[in-house]
Amino acid sequence: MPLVESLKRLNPDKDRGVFVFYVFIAAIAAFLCCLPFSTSIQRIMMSKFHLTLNPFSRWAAAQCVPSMYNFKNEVFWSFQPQISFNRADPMTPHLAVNHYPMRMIFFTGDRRGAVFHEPLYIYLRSTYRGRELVTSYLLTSTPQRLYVQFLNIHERSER
Amino acid sequence: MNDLNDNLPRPTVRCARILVAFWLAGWFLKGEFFRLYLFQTIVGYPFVMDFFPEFFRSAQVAQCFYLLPLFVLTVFIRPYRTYFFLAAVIMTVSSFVLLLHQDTHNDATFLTSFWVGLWLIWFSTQMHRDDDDFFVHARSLALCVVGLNFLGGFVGKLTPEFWNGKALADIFMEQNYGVIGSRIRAAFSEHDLRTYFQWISKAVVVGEGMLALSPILPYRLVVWVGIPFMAGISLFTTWRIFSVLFCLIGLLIAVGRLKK
Repeated sequence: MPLVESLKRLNPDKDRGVFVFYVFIAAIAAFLCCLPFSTSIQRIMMSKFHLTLNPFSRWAAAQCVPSMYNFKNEVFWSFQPQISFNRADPMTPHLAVNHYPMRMIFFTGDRRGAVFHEPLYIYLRSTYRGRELVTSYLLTSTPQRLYVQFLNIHERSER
Repeated sequence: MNDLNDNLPRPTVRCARILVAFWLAGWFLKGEFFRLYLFQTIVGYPFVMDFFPEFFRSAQVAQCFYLLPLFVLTVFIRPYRTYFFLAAVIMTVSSFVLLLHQDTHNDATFLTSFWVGLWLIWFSTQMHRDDDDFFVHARSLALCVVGLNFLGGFVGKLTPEFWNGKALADIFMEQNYGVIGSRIRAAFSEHDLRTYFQWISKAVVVGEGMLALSPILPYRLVVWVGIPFMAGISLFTTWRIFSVLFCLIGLLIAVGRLKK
């Protein structure tokens, strides 16, 4: 086992960089292993995807934690402030997203698809092991820019 | 000539150059998209979120740090340890800035590139060595970097929506995955596709779980099973995912060159 062989040969004085790197990786691995069991860590990682993890430095640290294709993520949008998350309803536009659901609005070569004549309510929804986080934003567009304003967070647990 | 740069062992130079080549290939794989996106879209029609500090909303910052890694090509001109170290720092810092930038934070390319850059920073400080201990540590740390990235993917999929295939099937059915995705959707009914994704999704979860164990698996097993698995992921997502995976694949291949 490569890791075991390396640890056997590790001399913390001579291989200080290796030692520090292992400590760093081990800390993040431990954090990740707690994800299925810790509601706090689930909230942190979902909030990371919803861009609501404050302060920014905390979000920046969380960005270094690998989380590709984590959770079931969706983005819903509506001109009305109230919405039902009924995917079967053709009047409820939505998209399933791999991560960072807000990216469906801005991460595109043509942002004109997000330009509307009136403000649009955006709902980011992530679910994981019975826990649901919904974050709502208001998208307003002008001829010069798209502006997204945070509105609300709603958290729910089935447990 | 600087003593630190002289006579670096060939295996370490070869290893570092292979890694940098794969890293750059992944970084610029979506070059055409980022050329349009960073130099036209975000300039012509900015997206504004107050969550991000002004520095990380600047289009010029994103442009600069996306192009900065071009300087790492110097490692192919002269095998100086200083060049490799500076290249690693540039790769890591560029990845980190774009990982935090408003317009690029979502792209996992910059996450995996960041972790591989960190590995290269450490490696470049030790490139004068050719002892067995160094090679063992290099390979183990490389497997830890690969393992950590897939651990993150694995634990986040330990939820019924992924195990029953619904999450991946919804993404596949609702996202634009180009010509191949369109042809697959045209060739099979939605019911059949969702049935297949029940098994595809399980395979993805199990495969990522295996790669998460990379540090304690034989190196050759990780290479011969892990790399095809990573390539296979592109069949059900998009070829653009290689921008995320190339640096990890390159890391695995590169450390295989570390032998006397």
